[in-house]
Amino acid sequence: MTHAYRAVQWNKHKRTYDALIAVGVVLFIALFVVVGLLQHEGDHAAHPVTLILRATSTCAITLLTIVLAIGPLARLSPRFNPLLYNRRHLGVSTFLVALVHGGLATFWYHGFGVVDPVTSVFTTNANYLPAEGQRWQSWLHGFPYQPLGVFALIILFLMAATSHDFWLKNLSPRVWKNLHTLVYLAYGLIVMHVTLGFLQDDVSVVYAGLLGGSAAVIVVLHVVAGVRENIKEGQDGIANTEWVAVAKIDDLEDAHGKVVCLKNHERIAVFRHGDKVSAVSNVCAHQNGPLGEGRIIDGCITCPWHGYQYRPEDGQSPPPYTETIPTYRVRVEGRDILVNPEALPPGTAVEPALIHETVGEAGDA
Amino acid sequence: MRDAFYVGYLRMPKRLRAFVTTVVVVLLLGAGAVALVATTQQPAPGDGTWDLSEKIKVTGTLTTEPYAMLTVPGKPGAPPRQFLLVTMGKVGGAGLDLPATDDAVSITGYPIARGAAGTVLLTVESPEDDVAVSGKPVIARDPVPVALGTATLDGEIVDPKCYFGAMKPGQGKVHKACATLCIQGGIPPMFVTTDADGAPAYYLLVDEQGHGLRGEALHALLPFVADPVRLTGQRERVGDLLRLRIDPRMIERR
Ligand code: FES
Repeated sequence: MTHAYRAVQWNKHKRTYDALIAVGVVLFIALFVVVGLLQHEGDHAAHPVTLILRATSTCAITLLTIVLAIGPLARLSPRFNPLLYNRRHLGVSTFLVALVHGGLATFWYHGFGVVDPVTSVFTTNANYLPAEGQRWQSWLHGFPYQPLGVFALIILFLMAATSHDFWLKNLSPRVWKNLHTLVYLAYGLIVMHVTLGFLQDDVSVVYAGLLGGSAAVIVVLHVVAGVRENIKEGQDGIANTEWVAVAKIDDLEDAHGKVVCLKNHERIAVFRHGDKVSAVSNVCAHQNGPLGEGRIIDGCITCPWHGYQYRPEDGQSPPPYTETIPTYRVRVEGRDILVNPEALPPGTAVEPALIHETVGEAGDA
Repeated sequence: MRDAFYVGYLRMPKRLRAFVTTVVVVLLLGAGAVALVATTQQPAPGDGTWDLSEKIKVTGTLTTEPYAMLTVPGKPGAPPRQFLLVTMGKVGGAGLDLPATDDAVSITGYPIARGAAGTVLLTVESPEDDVAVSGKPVIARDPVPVALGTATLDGEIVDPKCYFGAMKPGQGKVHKACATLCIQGGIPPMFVTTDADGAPAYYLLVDEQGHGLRGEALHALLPFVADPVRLTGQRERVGDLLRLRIDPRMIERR
């Protein structure tokens, strides 16, 4: 985490994850090209380069759709967290496949000519603005769609290049997160790139259907996840007065947490560990993962996203790590857990509240 | 819930493992289905070929107007054949520095052919090795143009090198920039339309005087390449090729 950066901190899950991506991508492209070659045989076959261009573009969009679907899916059910865990590798793979597509298209359609290929991508079709008296349908039909793809590729490159925790740390999580929301812009550019490019040709409506399906999946999942969270927030919203009751002891299993949302939208994670109760910020210092959905493992609150750990009593990562998160004062009164909504500076030690009495079986339920 | 907790560096709980495996299998099968559907819906790209395995040798008369071409006597009763000469790249025959001669010339090149149109172009790899002036007298005179009247036709301006077989497909929006680049590089612009019977018809585009389109005239044409257009002009037949005399400033979009 903090003490040393390696290119990738490997473990078995990441290896399995990456192996699945690699196998998936290779099979996808092979299937597309081989079946495409068999479909129109002999003199009627499409050029292999055309097939590779189409295979890589379809593959990159499929990958990007999965990348963008995983976020809301994990918000809807933590069971999708294992897919979120190494999502950045899926993102980097998307970039690499898109790079093959962009590089090959530049070489194939813009190479061998009287203009240098990269300049040609931007200038050979210069119908950026409608000609005088041109109908808008005709303008869009001829619109230079290649630069849209280039801009999407640049965004994917920036994201792939800064996907490492080194950049997360050095750009600050806020800037990093903002940079990485550009992925939605990249997705929009890609949809335009295909719509104003391939879909302008005389092709089957199935392609418009596939692209529309991808967009629909992404939009619907984001809307559903967003609405669900808003409803929860509305129910949970607790006034930031002095000492608020946030949960019943009986509701908290041992080693489990609960997310509490304050009226100011701050989220607190309340954890029970044995006969003690602690409260910390719900926001993981790594990538804002929801700590309250984590567990206590080896005495530490463990983030459900990438497993960063914090001691419940002071919000500090155990040595050698140095991450810290804000803590909250907490008290037990009868069966109620009360929290003081004023956040203490990250890493501040707070005496856990003790559960004295006969609560019992909640932890074994 | 308790079973569902997952940390990357620990073993995955059993129930969660079953769920994740299911999701991964569904994703892989879904992606496979997308690949299959997308690949089988591809439109047929036509039956053009650019045979790079063997050069053919053709002997005839060299002309540079309207474009670099070799005219060869036709079969008995048939009009003379005309082969457009282009380079291996996106540059037309003017880039070949062909010799100015009235003598018969033999050219070896890779043929580009498409279906019923047969071989339309020859790609010449090296002017030194592949172009030979025989020193023998002319074997085929420039064919006499036969006027076919004025017509207004709907179709697409293509670069014949890609269209007849170098790229597959070599027409349409995705190919627009490539076609523009080819024509800009001197590959003669061709117009693809359909004749009265619905069969494809190809016209070599020339200016109103019958000269090749170059300079400003060519630049006026470039923005319309690969777009759906309507052309009006004088049709004529020269040898086995049709030509359309147009004013490139008068091209209409459909
Ligand atoms: S967000 Fe990555 S470990 Fe918490």
